[in-house]
Amino acid sequence: MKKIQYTSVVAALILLGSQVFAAEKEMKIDGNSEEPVVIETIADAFKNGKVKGLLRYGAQHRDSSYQVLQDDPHIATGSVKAYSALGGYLGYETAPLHNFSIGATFYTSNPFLGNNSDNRKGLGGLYEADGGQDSYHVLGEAFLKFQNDEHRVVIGRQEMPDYRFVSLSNIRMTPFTHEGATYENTSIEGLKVNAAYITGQKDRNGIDFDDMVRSARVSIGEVKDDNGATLKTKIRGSYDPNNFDASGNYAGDDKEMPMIGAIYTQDNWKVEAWDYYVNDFVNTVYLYGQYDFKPTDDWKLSLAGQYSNQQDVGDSVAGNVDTWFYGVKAQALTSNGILFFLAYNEVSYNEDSYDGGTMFVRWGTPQMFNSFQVQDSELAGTKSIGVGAQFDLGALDLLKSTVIRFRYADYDMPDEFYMIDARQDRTEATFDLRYSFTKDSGFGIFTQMDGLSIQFRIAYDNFRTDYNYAAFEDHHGFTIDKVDDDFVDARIYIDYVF
Amino acid sequence: MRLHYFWPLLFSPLLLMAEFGIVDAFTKGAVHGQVKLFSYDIDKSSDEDAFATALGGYLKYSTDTNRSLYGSVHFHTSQPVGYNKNREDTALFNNDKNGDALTVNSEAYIGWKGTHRVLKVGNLMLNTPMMNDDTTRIVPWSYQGFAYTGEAVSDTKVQLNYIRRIRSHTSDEYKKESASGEIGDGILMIGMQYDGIESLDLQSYYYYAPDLYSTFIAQADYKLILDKDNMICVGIQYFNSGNGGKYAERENKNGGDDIDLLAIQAGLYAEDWMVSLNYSQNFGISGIVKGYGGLANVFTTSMVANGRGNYKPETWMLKSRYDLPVTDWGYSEVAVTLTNTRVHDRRGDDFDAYYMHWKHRFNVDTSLFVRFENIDYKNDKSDVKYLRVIASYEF
Repeated sequence: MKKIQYTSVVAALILLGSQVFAAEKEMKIDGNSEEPVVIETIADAFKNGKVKGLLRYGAQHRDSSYQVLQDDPHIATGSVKAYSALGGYLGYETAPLHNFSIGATFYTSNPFLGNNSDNRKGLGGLYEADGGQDSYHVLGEAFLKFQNDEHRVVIGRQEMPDYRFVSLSNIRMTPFTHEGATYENTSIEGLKVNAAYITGQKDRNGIDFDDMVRSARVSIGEVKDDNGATLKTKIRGSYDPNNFDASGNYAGDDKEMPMIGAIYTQDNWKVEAWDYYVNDFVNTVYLYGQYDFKPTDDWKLSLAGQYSNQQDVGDSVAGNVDTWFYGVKAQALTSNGILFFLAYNEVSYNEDSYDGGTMFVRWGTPQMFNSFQVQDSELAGTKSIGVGAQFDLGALDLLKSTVIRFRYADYDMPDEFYMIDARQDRTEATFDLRYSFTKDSGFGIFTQMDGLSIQFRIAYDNFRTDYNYAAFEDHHGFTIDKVDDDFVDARIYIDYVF
Repeated sequence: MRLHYFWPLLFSPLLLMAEFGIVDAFTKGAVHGQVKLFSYDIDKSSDEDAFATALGGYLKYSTDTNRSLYGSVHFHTSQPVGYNKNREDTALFNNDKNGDALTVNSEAYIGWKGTHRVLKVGNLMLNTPMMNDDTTRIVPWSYQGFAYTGEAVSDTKVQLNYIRRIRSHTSDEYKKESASGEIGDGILMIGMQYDGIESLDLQSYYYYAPDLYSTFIAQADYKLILDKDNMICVGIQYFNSGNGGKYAERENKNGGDDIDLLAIQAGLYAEDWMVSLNYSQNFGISGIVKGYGGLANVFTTSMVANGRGNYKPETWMLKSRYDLPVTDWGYSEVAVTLTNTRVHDRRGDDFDAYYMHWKHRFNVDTSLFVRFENIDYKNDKSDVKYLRVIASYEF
C-alpha cells in the first residue's frame, strides 16, 4: 500500500504543478494567425501545441522472394512478396514553455485492399513477427524536448532524421524511430554538433524497441552440410555462442550506441565526421565531404566523397568486424531543374570479417551513394557504378507538379568460385515519379511536403547467372540452394501530410 | 503485377477533384488528448496480489465534423512504469503479450452525416448496454464494423450496429471474439430510445449473435421533479438472453444464453448529494459482467462489486454521493456504496462490499480520482481490496 501512496503523492504533485506553475511569459507565433500566443502555464502549452499527421496508402509488390537486409527478416514462402496497407502517423507536441515541450506520436499500418496473404510477407509494410501480415500500432515518439537558438536536447522516443547512419528510412509505411537522448549544438557559426546515446530502435514495422545489436540483425548465419557439419558462418573469429538463440539470432545483453557527429559548412563546401560506437559490438566511423561550384549561371556542380570504417569493439559479440567502404560522386544541376549524377562505391572484401566485410547499416538509410531502390551497395566486396538523371517537369514547363528520375547501377560482386562470400553480379534500373497536389515545381522524389502527393517507384533487378556453380560447390563443399534471376519491385505511396 | 494494388491510383482523379475540400477538412480538424497516470493495487490475502502503475492516455484527431463526410482516428496507449507485480491482473496492459505496453488504434472511421442520421464505418468506440468502451482503465474496448444512428421519427432514436470484430481493452488486435466467447459471423444490434412522454425515457435493444447468444434488453426511467433542486428517479431494467449458438457457454460469468436479470433503481437527487437504492436479481445461470464487450450497464454496478455475475445473484446496492463545497483548489465529490449479494445457486459466491471514492477536479481538464473497494466473500474465496489512483489531464 505504501507504493500506491507514493504514486498518489507524485500524481498529485504533477497535477498541482500543472495548475500553479506559472512561467515567465513566452511567445509562440501560430502559423495560421498573426496574433502572438502567450504561453504562461502548462495548460497554455498543451492548448497551443502542434499536431502532425500522415495518412498513407502504401503498396509494394516484388515478383521474387529476393530478400535484402533492409527488408523484414521474416521470409516468405511464396515466390511473390507484397503488401497493400493504409496507415501513417498522428502526433502532438506542446508549445514550448521555458523552451521545454513534450510530444508523442502514434504510428500505424493496416492491411487494406490487395492480397496480404501470409506467404507474401517479408517486405515489412505490415506486422510480420506473428507469422502473418497484420495491423500494428506503436507509440513511436514520446519525448521531452528543450530547445533554444543554440541547443536542442530530446530525451525519450523520437525521430532522428539528421544522424546519417541513424535515420528514418521511411520507405514502407512508418519510419524507424529511436529511444535515448540526443543533443544538438549550433553555437559556433557553420558548425553543427549532433550527439546521442541511443538505447533502442523501433523497426519500421515493429512495436518494440530493440537494442542496437538486435537492430543490426546480427546472426550466426550458419550453413551446414548434409551431415550437420558447419561449413560456413556469417560470424568470423571468436564469439560467445551463449549470446545467440537456437535460430542463431542475437539474444545477449542489450547494447547501447553512444554517437557523435559534426557537420561543418562554409561557403560552398561541407565536411562531416561521425562516430557510432555500439558497446561490445562495432564502432563505425563515417566521413563525408562535398564541394559545390558554379562554372556558369546555368549549372551547379557538386563533387562529394565518403569513407567509412567499421571495427569490432569490446567483447565483440559479432566476432571479427574489419571492413570499410568509400565512394565518390559527381552531380550537376541545371537552373531549369535537371539533375545528373555519376557515383562509384566500393566495399571491402575480407573473409575474416562478419559476412566477408558486409557493412552493418540497419540503423537507418544506407549511406552509400549507390544505395538504390532494392540494392544498397553494402554487401561485402561490392564495386558499384551508378548513374542517374532527375527532371523537374514543372520547372521545365512540360508537366506541372511532376518530378521523374531514372537511375541505373552496375554492382560488381566478388564472384570467383574460390571466394566463400561470393555473390552474383547484378544491375538495377529504377524509375521514380512524384506528383504533388500542392506544389508546381521545386521538389524532389523524397521532399517532405504538406498536402496530397503520389509517389510511384519501380525497379528492375537483373542478376548474372552464367556461373560455374558446380566449381563453387566442389570447392566449398556445400550446395547452392538458390540462384537469383531477375525481378521487378514496384511501390506506390499516396500521402496526405497535415 | 495485379491491378488491385493500384486501385487507389484509379481513384486519384477523385482525390484530385476533392483536394480543395480535403485541405479545408484537415485544417479545420480538431485534436484532443489525454495524459493519464493510473496506479492499481489489488490486495488479496494470498500471493495473487497485483500492483502496477501505467502512464498513458490518448490522442484523437477528427477532420472537420461539420462536413457531411468526415474521418476520425484515435490512439490509446498504456505504458508500464516502475515496480509492478502480476500486472496482467490489473487489465492495464497487453495481456496477449505478457502484460507488455499496450498501444491500440481504438477509432479509425469514416463518418457520413445527413439530416438526423449518422453512419460510421471502421473501428468504433460504442456506448450501448452490452457493447461499450468501458473507460475504467486507460485503454478502452473498441469494435470494428458500422454504426448507424437515425432520428427520423420525432422523439425516437434508432441505432443499428453490425460488429464483425472486437478488440478487448487488454489487446491491440481486433478478433472475432467478444468478452463472452467467439462471435462467428458477428453481432447485429438494433436499439430504440423514445423520450416522447414527459419525464419518461424508454429504451430497448436486441443483440443478434447467432453463433454466440442473443440478448433482449428493455429499460424505463422516470423522473419526478420535486423542485428546482430535488428530483426522484426510478428505473427498471430487464435483460434476457437465449438462442445459444455453437460458441455459447451457459455458465460464463461475462455472458451466456441464460441471462434473466431484472433490476430496479430508486434515487433521490438533490443539489449537491444523491442517494439511490438499487436491486437486481439474475434468475439465470449465465452472468452478464462484460456482456459482448466493455461492462454491461446494470443498475447494480460499483467499481468491482456488482450484481451481474453468474449463478443467480440477488444484489442490493445503496449508492450515495456528496459534492463538497467549491474551493480555490477546485471542486470535489465523495461517494460511498454498500453492496450485498447472495446467490441462489451453490456454485456462486455470496459477498458484501463497500466502496468509496474521492474525485477532485482542479479545473475542467485536470482531475485526481481515488477509488477504493473492499469485497468480503462469505465463502472460502479470498477477500479482496482494490485501490485505484488516477490522475488525468485532458487537452
